[in-house]
Amino acid sequence: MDERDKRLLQQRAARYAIRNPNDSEYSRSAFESMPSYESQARDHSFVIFRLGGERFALQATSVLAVGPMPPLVPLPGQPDAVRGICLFRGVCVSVIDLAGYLGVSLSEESLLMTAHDPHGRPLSFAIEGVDDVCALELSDEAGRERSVDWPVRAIARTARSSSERSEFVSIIELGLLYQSERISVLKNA
Amino acid sequence: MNEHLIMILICVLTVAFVVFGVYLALGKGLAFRMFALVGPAIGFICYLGYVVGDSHLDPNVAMITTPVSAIVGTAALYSLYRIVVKRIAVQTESLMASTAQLSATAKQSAATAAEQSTVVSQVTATTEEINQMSLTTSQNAEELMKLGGEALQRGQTGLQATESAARVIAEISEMSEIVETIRSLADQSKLLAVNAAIEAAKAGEHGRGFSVVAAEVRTLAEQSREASLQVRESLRRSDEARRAIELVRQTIEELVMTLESTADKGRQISGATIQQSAGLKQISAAMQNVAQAGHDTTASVRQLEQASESLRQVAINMSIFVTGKARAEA
Repeated sequence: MDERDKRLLQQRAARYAIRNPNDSEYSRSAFESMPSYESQARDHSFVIFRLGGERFALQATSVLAVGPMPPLVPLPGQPDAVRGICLFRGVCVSVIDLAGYLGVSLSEESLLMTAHDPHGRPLSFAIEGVDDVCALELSDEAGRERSVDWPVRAIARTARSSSERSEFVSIIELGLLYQSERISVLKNA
Repeated sequence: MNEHLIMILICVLTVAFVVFGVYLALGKGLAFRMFALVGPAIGFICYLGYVVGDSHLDPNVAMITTPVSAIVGTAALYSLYRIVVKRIAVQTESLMASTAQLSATAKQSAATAAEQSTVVSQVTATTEEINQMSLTTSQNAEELMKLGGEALQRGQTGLQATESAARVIAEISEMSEIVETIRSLADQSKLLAVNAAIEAAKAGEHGRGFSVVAAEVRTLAEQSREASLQVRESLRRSDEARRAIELVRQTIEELVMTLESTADKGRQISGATIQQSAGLKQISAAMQNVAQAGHDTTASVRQLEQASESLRQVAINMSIFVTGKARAEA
């Protein structure tokens, strides 16, 4: 990391450290206005990754890249859910503590996944590993997980061949993360 | 008158000599018997010598002095005989005591010599047994040295084998870095495949074929990673084998040192037993000489015993002959 990258990271850190009083949570109506997930699950691919020993999925179109964990720069005055910032393709990207938000603990921290948030901005978080990039089948339990307080939008299972055992995964909607006060500071950053 | 008187005196003296001789003859002892027989004879012979022979003395005086001289001479001879006989008796007594003591000592010496001979025989037999044991020990020590030498040679061969194996395993362990590189490459390949699959998913229908390729690449990367993990596990086991071989090598080294020490001790034992055997042979020869000397001593003591017994019998006979009495110990 050269001096230019460090300067960029420090400027970004100083800007993230200022809490925006105009931040507002996603409203339930906004949540409800999201397109039906059942219609997307079969037609889209998801990236299956591990986090705290559990499996989660993120829509592949929102994922920018998966790479090794770079060195993180902590932010002064940063929220607990923000671990710091890093450089991704020359851009400063916030690294949030997705595992802590989901209530799981990382057993190993080897990869960094970067994805678009609903505003089209890159957002990174640490994961343990990537299992697959595949389509999903929504389970019967999907509707019960729909909540404005929880970023898991649906429960699905991997579409495997008959010889393989399908596994349930939790589909994460990054936009729902901003409903939390811990993360909302990033919404307008 | 004088002649008659002289004759009477002569007769009286003669009778007195005879009586005295009879008295002495009845007594015991060589001196008395000699005096009893010789004394009157000497007096009578002196008188006859005077009467028959030529004398220049006064016949009257001669008639008196001659028997008196005979008596005095006989008495002096008798006294001398008594002294001599007493001394002979004393010496005979001492000789008897000495011969008795000599005989007892000879008997005791004979018993001691016999006992000594027995002890020497036992010592000789024991020495021979010890010699046999020493020879057996020497043979065992030589056998031990031979076996130790073979074991030492095998141990050194095993040591060389373990060193070769340790070198091979060390070379294999150096492959761990290569395997680690392969694993890292596999991880990176998998990430590339994942990212390729993500991009293919973004491309929608147009990226479907590419997503298949990306999935295959990811599968290959996972297989490579799995294979590298298996190799790493094998290398870990080879590292355990290396440690085990190192332990075996150390054990064999200690064993070789122990065998060398054992062979050295065996050589020392063999040399010591050879020297011991030689010493025992010398002891055995010396014991045989001692036994022979004991036998000679026994024979000499027996001869001495016989001689002392004979001498004692002579002393007894002499004592009886001198004193005329048989002693109780005779």
